[in-house]
Amino acid sequence: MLTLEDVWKIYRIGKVEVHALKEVNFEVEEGEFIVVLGPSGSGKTTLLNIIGGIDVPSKGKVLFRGMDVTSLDENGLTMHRREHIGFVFQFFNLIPTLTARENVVLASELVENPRDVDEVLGIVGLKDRANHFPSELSGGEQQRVSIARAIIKNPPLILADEPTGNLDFETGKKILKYMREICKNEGISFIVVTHNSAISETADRIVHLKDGKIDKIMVNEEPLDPDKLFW
Amino acid sequence: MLSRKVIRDISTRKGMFFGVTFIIFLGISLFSSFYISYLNLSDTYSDFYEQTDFEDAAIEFNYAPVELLKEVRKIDGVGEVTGRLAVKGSMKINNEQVVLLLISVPDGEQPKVNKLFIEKGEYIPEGAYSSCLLINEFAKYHGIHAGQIISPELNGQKLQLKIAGIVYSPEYIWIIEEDNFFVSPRTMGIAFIPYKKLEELGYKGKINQVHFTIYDKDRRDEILGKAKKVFEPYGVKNFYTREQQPSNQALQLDLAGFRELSIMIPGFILFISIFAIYVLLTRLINEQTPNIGVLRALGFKKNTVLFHYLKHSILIGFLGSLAGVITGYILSVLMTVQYTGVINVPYYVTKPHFEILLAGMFTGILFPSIAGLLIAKKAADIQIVDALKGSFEPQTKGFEIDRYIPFFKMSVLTRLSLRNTFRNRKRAAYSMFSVVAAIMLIMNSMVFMDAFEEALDLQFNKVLNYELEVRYSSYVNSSAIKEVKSIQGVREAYPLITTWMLIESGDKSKSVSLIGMDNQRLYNIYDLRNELHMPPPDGILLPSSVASNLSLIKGQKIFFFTEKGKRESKVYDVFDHSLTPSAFTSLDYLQNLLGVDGYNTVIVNVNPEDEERVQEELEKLDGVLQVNSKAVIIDYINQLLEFSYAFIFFSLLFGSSLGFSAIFNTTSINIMERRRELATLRMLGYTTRQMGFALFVENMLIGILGTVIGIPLSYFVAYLYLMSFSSELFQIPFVIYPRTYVLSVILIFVILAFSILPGLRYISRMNIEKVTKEVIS
Repeated sequence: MLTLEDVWKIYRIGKVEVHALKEVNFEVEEGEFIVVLGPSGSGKTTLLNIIGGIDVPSKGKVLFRGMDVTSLDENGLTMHRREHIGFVFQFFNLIPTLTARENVVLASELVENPRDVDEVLGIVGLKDRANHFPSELSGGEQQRVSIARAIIKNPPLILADEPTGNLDFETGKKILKYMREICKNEGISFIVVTHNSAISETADRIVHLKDGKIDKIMVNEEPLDPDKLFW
Repeated sequence: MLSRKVIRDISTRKGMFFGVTFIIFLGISLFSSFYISYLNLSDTYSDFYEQTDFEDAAIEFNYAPVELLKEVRKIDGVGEVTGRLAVKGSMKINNEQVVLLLISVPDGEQPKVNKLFIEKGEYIPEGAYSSCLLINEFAKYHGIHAGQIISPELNGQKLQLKIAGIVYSPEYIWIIEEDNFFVSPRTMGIAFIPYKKLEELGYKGKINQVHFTIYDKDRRDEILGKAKKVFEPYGVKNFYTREQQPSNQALQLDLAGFRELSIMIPGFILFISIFAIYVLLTRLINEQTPNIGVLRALGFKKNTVLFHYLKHSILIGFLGSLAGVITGYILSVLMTVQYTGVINVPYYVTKPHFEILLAGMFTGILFPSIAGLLIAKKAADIQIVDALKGSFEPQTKGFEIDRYIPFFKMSVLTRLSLRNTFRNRKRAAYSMFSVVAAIMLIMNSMVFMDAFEEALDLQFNKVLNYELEVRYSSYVNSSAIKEVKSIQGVREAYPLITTWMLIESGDKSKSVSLIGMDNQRLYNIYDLRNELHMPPPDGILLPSSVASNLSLIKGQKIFFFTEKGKRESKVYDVFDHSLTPSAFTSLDYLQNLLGVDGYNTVIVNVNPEDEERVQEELEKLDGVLQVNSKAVIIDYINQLLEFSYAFIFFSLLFGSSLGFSAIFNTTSINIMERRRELATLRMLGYTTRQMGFALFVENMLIGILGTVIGIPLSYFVAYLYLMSFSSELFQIPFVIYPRTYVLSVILIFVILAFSILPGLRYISRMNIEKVTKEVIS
């Protein structure tokens, strides 16, 4: 579904060149759950941004179902995000003036055939809290709204940047469970970026990044149930 | 180090700080330019009056012996006295008949009162009886120079007068003749000639005016009353103190308008600046709450935090008012030069008026400091623990206004816009207030134009339906009208009597022009409400300003002086006049009252293509003193109004700038505050255009609400504003044309639309991945 071919990202700060990503090559299959693991500054977020079409590589290609994302203009990238990508953020990024339901509907209005909002809220277990505003929801509930918002558009790929980073241990586990189940049941691919190595045990594959380069890619034959995770 | 932070805070939010500073700049530059212009003009008039020994009082009467001046001089408290003759002659210039007011001056020396300022040439040399001095405006208009000969006609005698000099007179800075504000130099001039020369023309030993100074100013009215008594047996036509002198009264009214504007509009703008600073600093402090917590945790005192944030507003105030006073001073000089160019003063006085510049600086710093203090105190009072956690302003979910709009299905993005409008109620109130303020400034400027257009339309299309007015030097009989009608091209002609009356009521008296006419369609009596009145069969129809000044009511008996002596009548009715006041009665009644046969004026309706020729032929008729063309008066008024239109243009510019700065400021703050939300929307796949539309909806909603409040409020303020222009001398109708509403609303919505452009630029260029990760609160 997604192929990264020799992707480089080079920032120029004054006269110094910073290589945020170097020679990155990997593929993502349909319905795969991938965790990108690496310490701070390893290039995880840069990689996610390039896949999500909010940043462009300095060199290399990103192919999404055969379409060259790197050749798209600003409008094309917006359409790519709209139709193919769902985002889950560390700080949820919900619109405080919209209820949980409205936050989800907001995303659904972007696509022609969105999923049913009640069904999606049911998947993340928030049907009863649908008419509450973000300020009336817990962190975990807010992140579930964020996941519902990502899947309502029915995207083939969801990118999650430290989705448990702002949650307590138990809530974080629940969120991972939801994501894992959606991946399995809905066939949506996930790329989860994190520095928390414990989370990687739930992945189908683990991409280790170090200094902007893929250090290793490990296949997890038996992904762990998030309920059994501990960190 | 904290001071450096102030500079950095400002430089990182340049646009927003500039917007607020610009509001202060607008307020202070308007204040200093208007107030200094007012003082400059006031100084100019005072200086000119002082140099020319301007009169303290004057009396106009029917011809009386010159010896009576001795009686005036004897009155205790009277200073210098000048008696003189003032008679109307006529003159041909470029084939056009013009009126020339001939005023006598002493032989070889300047008059003791109302000296003339010699612009070019010299004062009339002793014994040069065939010389004269010509008023500058008239000479300039017709291109007449010192040394040239003019040939005016008086009482059938043609004079040859050499122009010794071109002059300015303190009595004619603003030329007003018989209550007419708009005396065009094309049709009327003033010449000063030696008394001896004028005496020779049938006025031997006579005078009809006395002008004098009073050294005991406290007893001025009493002294004027005593002097008036001296001339009463000869029929007093008018009398006035320096304050009531027509030219001076008009100038003082104008000055008062300048002074009011210099306080009212800037005060209003500075009031808005308080809200602008409050909104800006609230945003800044909200964003920097954790920093405040750190500062306090480090050991900085509450007062240090308070002064730190107060410094932002002081700096805004300082920069805005510094730029404001500098610009204001430059504008004041330009305005003084421009204004004095329109009226008849030989020079202008401009001073820096440091006290006003300092007052401007002080006010410009004080207003933002008030707002700054309120918000800085809030920042200083915040608990360290809370501050370290983040925002001190509670996050609101917004007012769900969309729930009250059930009529049509709207997208969530539109709902979001509607809710965002009232998300921060204080800010929404400030935005709406800014729209209201901008509408008020814009509408007030245009209402001024509407009122003038309406007044001129009323006067020249409804009241005066004739093209030409023929004035005779004395009363003529019915053959005169036949003569006028016989001229080819004349469609209609009707007789009038135009005279004056000095009404006495208790210890008050008032001079007003009196018109006697039949009910005909060329001259109609319309009031300010467009209601038509008939010339009364008996009694006098009095203008409201005169009636209220003399406390006269309908049906009341009145006594008054006329050119034919003292008479008595009754107030038939009172009406609200437009522009300048005149009293009316029927022609028959006035003829009986004055004891005259015939009339002294004929109004004429002509075929447009014949007007010029008919005017020339009318001027040739026996006994015709002057032929006034309505078109010439309208042209002259339009020339005078050019200055007003420039003023209106600047008012519109200021109003629009104010609206733009204020709305731009809140829009920018809104965008900055919600940048994470906006970045999220972009990440979700919303385009910049869709988000621009959402912001546009928010601004439009503010615009609609501001307009709904602003229009009735502007109507009320415009009414007060126009009423402040009405005086005994002058009244203009209160009217707002539909175009004013439409243009004001369009302008406001254009401003609102433009004010989101910088924000849109920010959204399209923002680093969305960085912004989505920011923890704002």
